[in-house]
This record gives sequence, structure tokens and C-alpha cells, in this order.
Amino acid sequence: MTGAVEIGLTQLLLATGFIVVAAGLSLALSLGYCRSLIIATVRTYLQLWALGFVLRWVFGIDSAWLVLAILTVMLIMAAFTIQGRVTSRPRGIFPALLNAVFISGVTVTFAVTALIVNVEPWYAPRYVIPIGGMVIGNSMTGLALALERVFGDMRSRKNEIDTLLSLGATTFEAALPSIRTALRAGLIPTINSMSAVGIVFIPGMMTGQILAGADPRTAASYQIVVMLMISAATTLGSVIAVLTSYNRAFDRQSRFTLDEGS
Amino acid sequence: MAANTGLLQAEKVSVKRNAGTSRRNVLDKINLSIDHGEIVHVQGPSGTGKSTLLWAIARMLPLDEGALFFEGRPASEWAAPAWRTLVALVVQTHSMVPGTVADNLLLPWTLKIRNRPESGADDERPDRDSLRNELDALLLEEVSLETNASQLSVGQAARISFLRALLTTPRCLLLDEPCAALDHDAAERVMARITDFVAEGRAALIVGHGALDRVGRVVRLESGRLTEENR
Repeated sequence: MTGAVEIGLTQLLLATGFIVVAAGLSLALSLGYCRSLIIATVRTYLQLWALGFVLRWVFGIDSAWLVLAILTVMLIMAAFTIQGRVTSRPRGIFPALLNAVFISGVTVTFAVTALIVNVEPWYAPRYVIPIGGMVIGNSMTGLALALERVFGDMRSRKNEIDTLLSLGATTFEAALPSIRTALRAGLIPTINSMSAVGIVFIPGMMTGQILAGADPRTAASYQIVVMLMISAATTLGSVIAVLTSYNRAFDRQSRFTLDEGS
Repeated sequence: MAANTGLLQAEKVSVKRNAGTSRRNVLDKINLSIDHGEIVHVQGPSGTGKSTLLWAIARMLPLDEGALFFEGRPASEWAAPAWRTLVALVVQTHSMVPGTVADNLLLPWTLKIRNRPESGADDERPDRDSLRNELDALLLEEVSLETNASQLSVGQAARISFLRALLTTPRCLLLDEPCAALDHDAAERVMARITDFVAEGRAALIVGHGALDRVGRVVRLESGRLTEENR
């Protein structure tokens, strides 16, 4: 281990230089995102610095309750973020979503920290928080895609669903083709990145570990665990989210009411 | 309890629809009774709510008022999917599920609708010859069981969706313009099949525009009210 090269203020300012170039291009070509780019850059600085300070503080305190509280906040924020990304959702899917994020996030995070990485104590913040963050953050996209797709697909199958219901099908039978499509859609990005990893790109976590001086083989093993746990969390979360929320497209009398807005 | 115990009754059924800021009665306290073995035709100008009546009876639309009965028992005794096994609706879109014609005709088995007590049919899958005969009887000789259902013409899809509903063996068929896209001969075959179907003590409620109403009773729906047509 040689340790990471320190990044000081000068280096950070140099990196910000790239954003100035990008902002200049945006202005020159009237792309209209100069302002958003500046705001996003400021947010990146503030949020990541704050994160650094918070993590340092949390690692110092080393309390199980604090770790659990942070995980809970992360899970709730994730559920809100996913809900925001699902534009075609019916009302009232938030409880199902929160449930899905909690079960998949907590199960996979602790399965990895307890069974694979064998951390001591079980809540060791240096492991549980970053691993939890990666599981939750990376499975969000899959969950959002699966939920977006299940309702979008049902909407496009409206006539077929009405036909099935009018013949006596249950809501599950009528929704099943959309449920399958949605679960596939949710998993495709994960499978794609699992297939391309190491050939097309070096994933961020592995890059980080190598830059911090870890043996690339150790970094690779960690990355394998991370990729597998992300796909597990995405699958588990999408299945729970879709199966517990598809029924929101129907009323209690098994009528398809997705677009009635009531 | 309903006063009489025919096969199917609608009692004082009202359905409202949003019309701008107010709600308008599409169906206004409709009373309708259908007996075993009966064919009832619902006629009336376009847009008067004939389809709404079928959807309401199939419990595919909420009733604002009134009640439905099957053989004197209130509809609430059945969960909606079970009710729709008793009373199958053929909607006007004649939508096919992805797959072949055979996949569509076998839906009552793949969905296990025929296993339900409400169906009262055996759940043995028909062989290909009997499905073929069913198609031929409706003048669908040119349609193969392996034809992709998305390639059917409107008239073909109409007959196959009718047949698919028939194969769920409901006690009452609710048909929304079953013959609208059919030529005279094909429409006659469909009507003959309906006549055979009701002869088994079942019933059919058909929305349509005359021509095929020689058999059965005709009611007229106008301004949300039903009137019996004297012939």
C-alpha cells in the first residue's frame, strides 16, 4: 500500500477549470445549461465535502444506532427519489416502494457485511455505510425503471387488460405480462454493466480502491462482490416493488383504473 | 332480494359520467331482467350508453345506484372475477392477447377460468380438430390456428373474440356490437351460434343495430331509460 495522493485546493480548482470550459461551450452554443452546470458543480462540492465530514464524524463515534439511523435516512431518501422518477405512477405506491427498498437494501447490505466481508463489529460504519450506499444507490435505477415500465406497459395494454378482466381474469393474470416486462427492464442495466465491466470500463469503486493504493486483485474481488450484490438488490427490490404495487392500477372491484385519476 | 328470479337482473341501475363540471346520468334507474334461454337486444341511437349498460352489468364500471342479481342472489356475493365468469363481456375493441389464434382461444384454460365453480364446464382442453370446427362454423376457414392474432382483420378478430368468450362458458354473454364488422353470412353464423348457446339455458344480451334481432326480445335505450319494444 502506497496510500492515495492527496488532492488539495489547487488540484480541486484545476478540476473546476474543466467545468469552466464546458460552461463556456454551453454559452457559445446557446445550449442553455450554463446555469444548471454551475449550480450542479457547487452542489457537488458542498454535498461531497459535507459527506466527507459526516463520515469522518460517524466513523469516530462508532455507534450502531447512528449507523442504523443513517441507513434509514438513506433508504427513505432513495424511496422518495425513485418515486420522483416514476412519472406515470398511480397514487399510493410509496408504502410499497419504501417496503421494497428497505427489505432489499437491508437484507443485501447486511448479508454482504456479515457473511462475505465478515466485519467486526457487525455495524462497523467504515463498511456498512459505503456498502449500504452502493447497494441502495445502484439498485434505485433498476427499481425506478421496473416501476415506470410496469405502469407504462399496462397503460399501453389497456384494451388487452380490459378484455382479460371482462373474461374473468384476475388483476394478477391481467397484469402478468406487464409485470414480466417490467422486471426484465429493471434488470437489463445491471446485466449490461455486469457484462461490460472490466472490458469497456473500470467501475468507480475499483478505480477508487486502486487510486487509494490497494492491490488491483483485492479491488477486483471487492468489485465482483459489489456487482453481484447490486444485481441481487435490484432483483429483490424490483420484484417486491412491482408485485406489491401493480394492484394500484386496479380498483377493489378488479377494474383497470390507471388513467381515471381518482 | 330481487322480486323475480330470472337469470340476470339489473335493478334501478344508474351510472353517471362526468360532463364538464357536472355529472350526467348515462343510465337512469334502469330495470332489466333476462331469463334463462333468452336473447335480449339493446338498441338505440349512438352514444346513448348501450355499451355502458353492458360494462355496468359486467361490473367493469362502478354503479352510482342500483344493484345486480344473478338468479336472485346479489352480485356482491361474488368477487368481480367470479362474477365475470358468470357474465362474460365481449368488448368492442376485440383485443387479442399476443400469440396465435389458438393461444387466444385457449385463454379460458390457460387462465383456469373453466376450473371455477361459476363456469360449470369441464376443464378438459379441446383438441385442435374441435377448435378448427369452431372456426369453420363461423366462416373462418381461411384463419389457421397458428395465425398470429395481431394479423387478423377486424371481422376475424370480432368472431374470434366472440368464440373466446363463448369458450369461457359463461351463463350470460354480453356482446357489444358482435356483428358490426361482419358481412351478412358471417353475422348469421354468429347469431346461429348465439341461438345454440342460449338453448342450453344460458342467455345473451346484445348491443347492436337491428338486422339480426329476429330472434329474441328488443329493448330500446334512449336518454338513459329503457323501454320495451313491441313487435
